[in-house]
Amino acid sequence: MDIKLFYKDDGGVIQLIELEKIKDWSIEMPFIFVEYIRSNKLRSYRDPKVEAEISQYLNEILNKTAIPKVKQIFGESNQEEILSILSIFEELSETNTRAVTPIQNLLENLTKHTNKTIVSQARKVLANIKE
Amino acid sequence: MAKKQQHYDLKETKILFKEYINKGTEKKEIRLPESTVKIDDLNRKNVLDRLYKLVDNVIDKINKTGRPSIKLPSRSSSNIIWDEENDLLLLGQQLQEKQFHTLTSVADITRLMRILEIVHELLVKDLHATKREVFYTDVKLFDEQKISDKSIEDAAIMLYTTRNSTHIVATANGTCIGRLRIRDKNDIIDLEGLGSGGWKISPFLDNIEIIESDAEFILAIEKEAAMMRFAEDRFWRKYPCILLTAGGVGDIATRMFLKRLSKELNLPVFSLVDSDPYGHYIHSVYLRGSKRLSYESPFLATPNIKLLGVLTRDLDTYKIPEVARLKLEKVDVKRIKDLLNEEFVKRNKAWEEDLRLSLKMNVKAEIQALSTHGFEFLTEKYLPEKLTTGDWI
Repeated sequence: MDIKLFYKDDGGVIQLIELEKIKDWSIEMPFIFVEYIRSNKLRSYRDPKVEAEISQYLNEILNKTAIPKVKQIFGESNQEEILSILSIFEELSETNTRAVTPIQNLLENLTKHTNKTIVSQARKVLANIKE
Repeated sequence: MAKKQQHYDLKETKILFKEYINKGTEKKEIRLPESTVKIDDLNRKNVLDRLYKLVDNVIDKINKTGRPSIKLPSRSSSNIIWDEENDLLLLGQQLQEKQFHTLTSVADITRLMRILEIVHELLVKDLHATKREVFYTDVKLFDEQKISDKSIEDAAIMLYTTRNSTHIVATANGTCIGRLRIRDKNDIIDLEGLGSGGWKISPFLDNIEIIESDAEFILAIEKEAAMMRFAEDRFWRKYPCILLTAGGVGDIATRMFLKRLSKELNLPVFSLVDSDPYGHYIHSVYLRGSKRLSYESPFLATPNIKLLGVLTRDLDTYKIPEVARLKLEKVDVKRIKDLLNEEFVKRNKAWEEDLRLSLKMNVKAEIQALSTHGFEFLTEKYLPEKLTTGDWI
């Protein structure tokens, strides 16, 4: 299945892309998607039960694929890759701070990194989030 | 005093939607008859693998016999099969052989090899090119665009894949609007938030992914003018749907996108076309594909699309005045007779009856004929009523 279904009490159906397909996305895209649905769509469904179910599904996307992917890269020794991912999130945090909030803890951990450039880059993203 | 608008519950459409959703959860793949060619929609890597294998075979033949040739499925009309079970036009298993060393096929094979070279370049660089661009890469060799277009289709069938998989695309004419959110690489596009113009369907459909929808049906509209009426009324807000038009016969991208919407979201699909044989032809192309691209039918056709209107019988039901009706021309009569001879029409009695009624009444009409009852009649009465009562073919 490519799509996950959520049934509203009024007979309507909300269809959202399946987690399996999200796993193939670029590293920042799941965060953009989750934030987009939370901010723009969730309320419009006008069904508290479905809103709660979808909210739970969005958390699942973050916890099962989006955050672990970032965590894995930040925990690796490849510092160039860490910097490249940080620059992606820095760019994203300039226009869409809330999308980056789920990795706040991971960014804070990076501020204790031995590489000063990584520390400085992580601080920039954190500053954008906290603004 | 403002007239109170009637609200329709779209009962029959909702029943159909529930049925499709339930079927969709136990999704089964289309099983094509053994006597037909199976085409795959492939990713870049897999197309490249097939291309390398094909070239290896040619090299092997050169080494072994010195007389290489390529076999590919024939696209002649005698090799086009109507698959009754899936209601699709498909390509049979007749093969044609193109030899490198004969005068008759040398030009053909040179063009084919040039196209393969271009496909290779596009895939390796992860770029897309239009058919027109491909023609201009070697005007001297191709001479006319229709020749390069034919070689492009031959190349795709030779690789047993869709043309889109080769990264050669046709310019898309379609637009789409309504309750749908898609992803184009890292951009999220909300098809409700693009004004009255909607989203221009991208020919690069491999970059597009459906991410969210709360639509309950899809409407494929023949004409831009009718689409504008729906867009201006924000029809999808009152009746949750996705609207799409190709402004005439559906081009590849529009048909492929419609197919994906219907397959992935399990939505009922309806067509709204002129009440004339050309309108019925447009519906038939969405329904079962075109003969020229029969090998791609499984990826382009929407076999469960319903003909919602404008039906010949609607002209009386909705009291369309004589002044808004047109007489059939000779060419219309011929087209209707041709349609009546098609197996897929013969098998659909309601469709056959409506075409015969058109002949009997000697009448046709445009979608816009409904405007004789007011500009909002189409969106506020005709469509919602038919979607509620299930008055479709």
